[in-house]
Amino acid sequence: MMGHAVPPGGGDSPALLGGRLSRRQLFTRTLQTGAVIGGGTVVAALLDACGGTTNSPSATLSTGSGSSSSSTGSSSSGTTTTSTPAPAAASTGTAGTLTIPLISNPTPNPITLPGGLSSILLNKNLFGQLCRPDANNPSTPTPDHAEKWEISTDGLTYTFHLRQGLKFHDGTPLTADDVKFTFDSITDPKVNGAFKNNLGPFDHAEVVDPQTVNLIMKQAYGPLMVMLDYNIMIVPKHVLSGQDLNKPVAYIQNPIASGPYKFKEFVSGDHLTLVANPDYWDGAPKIGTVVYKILPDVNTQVAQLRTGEVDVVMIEPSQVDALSGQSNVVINTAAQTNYYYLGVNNSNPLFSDVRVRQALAYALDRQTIVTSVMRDKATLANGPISPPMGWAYPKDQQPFPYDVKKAQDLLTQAGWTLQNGKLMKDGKPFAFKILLDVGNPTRKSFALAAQQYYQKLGMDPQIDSEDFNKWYDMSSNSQYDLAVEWWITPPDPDALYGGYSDDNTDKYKNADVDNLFLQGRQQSTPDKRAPIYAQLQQKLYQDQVDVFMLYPEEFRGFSKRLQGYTNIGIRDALYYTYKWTLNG
Amino acid sequence: MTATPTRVLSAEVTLAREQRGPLQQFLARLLRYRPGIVSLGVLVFLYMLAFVVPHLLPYSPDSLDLTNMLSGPNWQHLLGTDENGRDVLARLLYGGQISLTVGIFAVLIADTVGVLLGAVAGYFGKISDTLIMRITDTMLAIPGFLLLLVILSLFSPSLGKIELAIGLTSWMTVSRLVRGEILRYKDAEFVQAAKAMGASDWRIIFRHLLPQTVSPVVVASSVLIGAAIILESALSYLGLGIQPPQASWGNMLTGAQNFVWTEPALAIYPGVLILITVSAFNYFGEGLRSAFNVTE
Amino acid sequence: MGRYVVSRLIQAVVLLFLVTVIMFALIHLAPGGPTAVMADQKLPAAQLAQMRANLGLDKPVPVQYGIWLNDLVHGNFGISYTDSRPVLDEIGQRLPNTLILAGTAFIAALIISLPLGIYTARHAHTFADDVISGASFIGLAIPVFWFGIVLIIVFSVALHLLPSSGMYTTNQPPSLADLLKHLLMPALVLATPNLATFTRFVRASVIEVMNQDYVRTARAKGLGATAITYRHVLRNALIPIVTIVGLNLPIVIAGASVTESVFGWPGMGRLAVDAAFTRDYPVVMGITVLVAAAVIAINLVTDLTYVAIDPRVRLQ
Repeated sequence: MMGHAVPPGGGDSPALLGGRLSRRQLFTRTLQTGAVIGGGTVVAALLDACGGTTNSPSATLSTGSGSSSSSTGSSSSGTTTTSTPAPAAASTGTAGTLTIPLISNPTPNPITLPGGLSSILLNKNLFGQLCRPDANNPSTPTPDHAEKWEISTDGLTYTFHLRQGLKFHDGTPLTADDVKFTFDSITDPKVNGAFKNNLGPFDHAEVVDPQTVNLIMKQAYGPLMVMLDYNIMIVPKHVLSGQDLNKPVAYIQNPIASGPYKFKEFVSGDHLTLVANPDYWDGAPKIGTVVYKILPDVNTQVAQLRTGEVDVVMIEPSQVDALSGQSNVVINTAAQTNYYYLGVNNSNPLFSDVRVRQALAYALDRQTIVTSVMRDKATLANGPISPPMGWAYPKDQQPFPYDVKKAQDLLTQAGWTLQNGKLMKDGKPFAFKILLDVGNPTRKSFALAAQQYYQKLGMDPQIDSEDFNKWYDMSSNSQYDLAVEWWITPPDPDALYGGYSDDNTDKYKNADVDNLFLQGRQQSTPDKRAPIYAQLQQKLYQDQVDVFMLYPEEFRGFSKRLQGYTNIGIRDALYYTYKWTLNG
Repeated sequence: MTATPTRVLSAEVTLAREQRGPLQQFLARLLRYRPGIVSLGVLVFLYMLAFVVPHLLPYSPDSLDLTNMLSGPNWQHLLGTDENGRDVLARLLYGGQISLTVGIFAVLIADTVGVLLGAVAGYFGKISDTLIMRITDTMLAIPGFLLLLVILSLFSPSLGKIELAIGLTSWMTVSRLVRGEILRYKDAEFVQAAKAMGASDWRIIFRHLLPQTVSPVVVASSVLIGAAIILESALSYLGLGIQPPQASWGNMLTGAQNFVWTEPALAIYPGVLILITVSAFNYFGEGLRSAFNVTE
Repeated sequence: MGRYVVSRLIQAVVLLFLVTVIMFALIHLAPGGPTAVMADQKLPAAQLAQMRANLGLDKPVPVQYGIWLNDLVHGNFGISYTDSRPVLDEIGQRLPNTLILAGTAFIAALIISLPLGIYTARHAHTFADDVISGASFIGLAIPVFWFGIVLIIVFSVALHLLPSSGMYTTNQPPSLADLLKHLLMPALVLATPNLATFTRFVRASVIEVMNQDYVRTARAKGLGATAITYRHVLRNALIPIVTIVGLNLPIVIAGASVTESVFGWPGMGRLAVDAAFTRDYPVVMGITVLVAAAVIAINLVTDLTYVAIDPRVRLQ
């Protein structure tokens, strides 16, 4: 709808350098870093789970069921468990050991979250939250430590009622004071709170009574509950107060929390062991011990899944073959709130013309990429809002088809001509770099494919692959032409605010988009918000702010002896480890 | 070939023999060591393969065919295709260009730096020795792999930068060896004799002392070339080797890791080629060593 | 000698200082920083600056170096940015593991390579030499991570004989047998290239010395081959051997990083690589200091050994 005529607003605006990278991205990227160390093959990319599945394309590869995604929201259940849920009655208490591989040391500090994804995977079992993603519909908040909550009619006050008898692992009661302390800490400017920006216009927390706490917002903020699902974990005031929350050295030696498992021991670079917390509010865990085994090489992780030494591994699509046909392993996929795209630097003169950006989309055969690189476990993206966002995903909008002719026409309209097979304008070739973070085979395939498709147009793309830290630096400082990126977010479209509104790393400026974002976050009900985000999605797609590629599913391998998990993103699934059982 | 009673005589005999036809002598000795010659043949063959044959192939090493990934050997792709549908044979050959050059240039850099610094330190002694050996020590004392990682993340890895980085972080062995050898010989009678005849310091170094170091330097270099090729593969493993889309045996090996269960051949080809190449360099170095060893 | 040792000790301290300056400068020069993995989405410049300030990263690099050095002198290695644990604890937990792995590999390589090197030197260019040298060439020619993965596939995945990673079986009381089972493959991988290097150097040095005049003289005097080998050759061949061995110990430790990654061995090499990638400055610096100190000490000992075993190497 922006057509060819309207140049994107941000073409030449010296927008401030914004962090396009969400915290979530970073976790996956941190994971990726480790994976680099582990040798180029990586778990990484795929996951972040709170973004889970409302509409679960939860195909079990091994059975080839391939259930397609119903893109409606919360009602469709994504629970195809690959194994039958364990009959709770049959389990005679707590026993067995579940082993989960991590690529690096986890650190139990949910406030600043050092250690990235490894820490997230640990924290799910160690800490409690006010609310958490539903085991079947992860975009829906369900009660955890708060048994119920109310939202004031003006949308400014959220009142949470804590369960009776909540206790930390050291026996100290968990009260509203701890919740207030948690939020105070996250939002303390002296503390590098990992998720503080997810809280939007959060103002302060106030204790009503030991069982009741209010979160006060500056403005109405519809997404808050979903954001609270997303790794906002309650920490003990009586242990942590007075410690430097940026490096609570003493706390980390013995992390007291309130989740289903208790800390037992940690050996750097080797393992961290948790044991069941019999006093957990939702009953004692079925599996007695959870061992997080530190295995930096993802190929080793896969090997150990084959030998039965670990039980759950997140894998890349290309690793599926290595596990398929193994009688003791189940491979499956789950939807996740994620999309892969080529980040476009809109302020680069090459790409400031919307027709050029559209040409980039038409010229890329994304369906072939889905079929080959993604092993068919992805759908074409038609914007940053992905199907797992449920109500917010406008399912009637269509992505551009693969159409080289159309791409060529658009480039011609934009003033580019082919000379001796090279695309030229004003005597200059169409030369640019595609920024890639090193080591992940899936993203490498994307970069190689993009390079080849764009070469066919007569462009001269080079791949610039950099180690994670440098990549991050370049990416967050807009030092790229195109960049292979992905973005895992909480399952609410407001999470995309920083990527496309205000100051973003793509240097895209569009007042309409800014407005839509602001309208969207101030409405509280999905039916009011949905049309706003449908407009937003369409604007962003027509503008091709980025070359939106695909919505990937998460690939993982489970040990067959593991039962009782629901088929949602691993990170969401791990909130419910205490309900899992082991067979034999 | 009788044992000579004094070093002076020994040196004179050596010099005299060199004047009689060092090249023929050298070649004769080189040819005497069969594995060395075979290896030279293998290396020449590999270089031909890597630098000539690719031009005859129908496939570019970088051209993707996403509809034909991991195809396995067939008549279109003699060694099959990789995980991105690229022709494995073409990539092996082009990758050979990289892997076969990376070692040589890295070691040339390392040798140049190492020999010069080692010679100066060993011969001139005093402050230059202290200074150079402390530089050497500093370099050796910085954890090498860490240094490489930091350097390569400072500058985006490329072929030239990888060669330079490996070269500039691996000259210390050479410099210490050269210094050690020169220290052993600098007071030898043949050096004294040359000095007495009025030879300049540099002439003594290049003419009389460095030849004494050739053998250990060559042995060290043959090992270093191999080590540099291996190092490139280790850097690839950590993601800092030759970058895509360019092929090197190291990054092909790394890329093939995902498929060791299903397509082990993908990892075997580059692995075996690295093995053959590095072994051949070592054998050839051995041949050179015995050929250089004029006092044998 | 005493004065020489003292002056070398002073030099050693200066050297260590230089090493830390260089590394500190380099790692801070490298793009990105520890906040890269801590930054949140859409950070206004002020917030990012605040984050850096919270970690003390806003100060000029020389000032940061000064603070770091002052802490170091007082025995404080700092706190890791990536996992908030004291650097010294982290290294203290990892170093013994690396020493077990590298030490085993190193000693095994040395024990095997000395006799092999001497034997091949004495039988240079015979069939046996060709076979052994050939094998050592292959040892040098195997890419470490590849070798490791092949071993895992064969011995862990296919044959179920050895555990594929870690040091101990989790949830079992640690035992020596268990450790040895875990140690076997990584030690083999780590030892292989060193075994090959050592054998080659021992062989080269011994041949070199055997061709020296005094050895010929000894031979001419009618001394037996064994006597010559041990009385004359080995003693002189020790110089380059000591050099190489001395130089290799820290390299073995540092080179353990790849092996440690492949086998999930909780050692220091891997810690170093992780820290470099995440720009975990205190950890990188802590490891640098320790490895550098070790290397400097070994160099010093090596140099002194030179003097002790070869009187021709005179002190300046």
